Amino acid sequence: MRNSFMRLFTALLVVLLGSSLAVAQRGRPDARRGVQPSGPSIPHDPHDLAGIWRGNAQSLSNAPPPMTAWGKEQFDAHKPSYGPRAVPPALGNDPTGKCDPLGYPRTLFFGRPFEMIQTKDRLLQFFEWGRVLREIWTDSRELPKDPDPKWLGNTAVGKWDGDNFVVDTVGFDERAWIDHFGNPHSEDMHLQERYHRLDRDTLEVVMTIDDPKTYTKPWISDKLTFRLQANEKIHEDFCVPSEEESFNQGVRNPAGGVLNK
Amino acid sequence: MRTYLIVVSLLSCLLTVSFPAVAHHGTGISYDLSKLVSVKGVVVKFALSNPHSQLYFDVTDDKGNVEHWSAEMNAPTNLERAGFSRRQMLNLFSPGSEVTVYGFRSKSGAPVVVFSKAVLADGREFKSQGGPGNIE
Repeated sequence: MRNSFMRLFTALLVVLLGSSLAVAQRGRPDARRGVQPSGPSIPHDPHDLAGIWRGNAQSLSNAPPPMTAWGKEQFDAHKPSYGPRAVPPALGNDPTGKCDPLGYPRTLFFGRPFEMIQTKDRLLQFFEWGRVLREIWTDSRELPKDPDPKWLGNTAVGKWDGDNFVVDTVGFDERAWIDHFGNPHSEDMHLQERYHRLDRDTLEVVMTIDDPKTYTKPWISDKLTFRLQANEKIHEDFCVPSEEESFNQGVRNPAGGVLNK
Repeated sequence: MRTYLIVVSLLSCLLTVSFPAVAHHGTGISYDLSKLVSVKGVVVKFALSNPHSQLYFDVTDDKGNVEHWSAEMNAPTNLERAGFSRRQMLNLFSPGSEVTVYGFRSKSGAPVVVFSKAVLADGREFKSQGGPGNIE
């Protein structure tokens, strides 16, 4: 009997540790969000990014670079409901709790699919979450010198560097968080993304955040992987403020120990 | 028996450590994901709303006291991807239906669970389509 229990325990331990390690690396092993192979790789055009993609990345990497005093102040003011600093949403201030825009790059980290659509003068990213459309200009325009802040960034421009599609974006609204964990950025953030289609089914993205007001050195991401989603479409997936409020009143607030008024 | 208890305890610890890291917005921190509970009641309302669907149901105790329960469920998009239409969901959880709801209860003690599974009186089952409440 004792041996049976130990065999059962060992088997379960291996499975659980395996899944925990996978989660700890990045994202979660959830079929809805997971990295799903869509078939054997076949020859592809590395300059063709079109398709519906999905990945598990939840941030640039596990640890941001050291923050400035200003950055730390913002970080401390952010009360997320994910990760090691998580508090119940009723006690937090995550902008998504009221359906405020996620901003960019957080939209990319939300785990929902997005479609890349190439046109003559733009590459469009069509995100399922909020059905957000991000425009990346490919008409050789310059980045603005003093951009007004916008949720997705004021202007994004892209060009090819070999097989890497390099996107530079400036002019971010600092009310948005970089990720679910409350990592902050300032309006001065310069985001660079390098998209590389490794094979037909795999898109790799490396991000660099240069934001001296918030971080003491550039934040360079891990290699973030997105997989082509076969037989997929972009669904309608809005955060509806009135419905979110109803959810907060009926479920989220009492679950978090907050009595409704 | 002692070995069994150790196994259960260790597994509980592992589950407790594992789930919060993979939770939805606040789900991991709001619910006790180490203990699955079941509650029998009567459906009041199913809300297919964004970004979370919700089930509301009333539970009556032996003395006739009624407690209002709610369950946090999948986003409508996840249900749609899994092949469930709005009409199917509303038919499944029609008001007045007897239902046993399985889930993980809120840490606050409020009558709220993150949904895992429901069994209707006629035997039909509906399971969470992923997320922290998923038990399979």
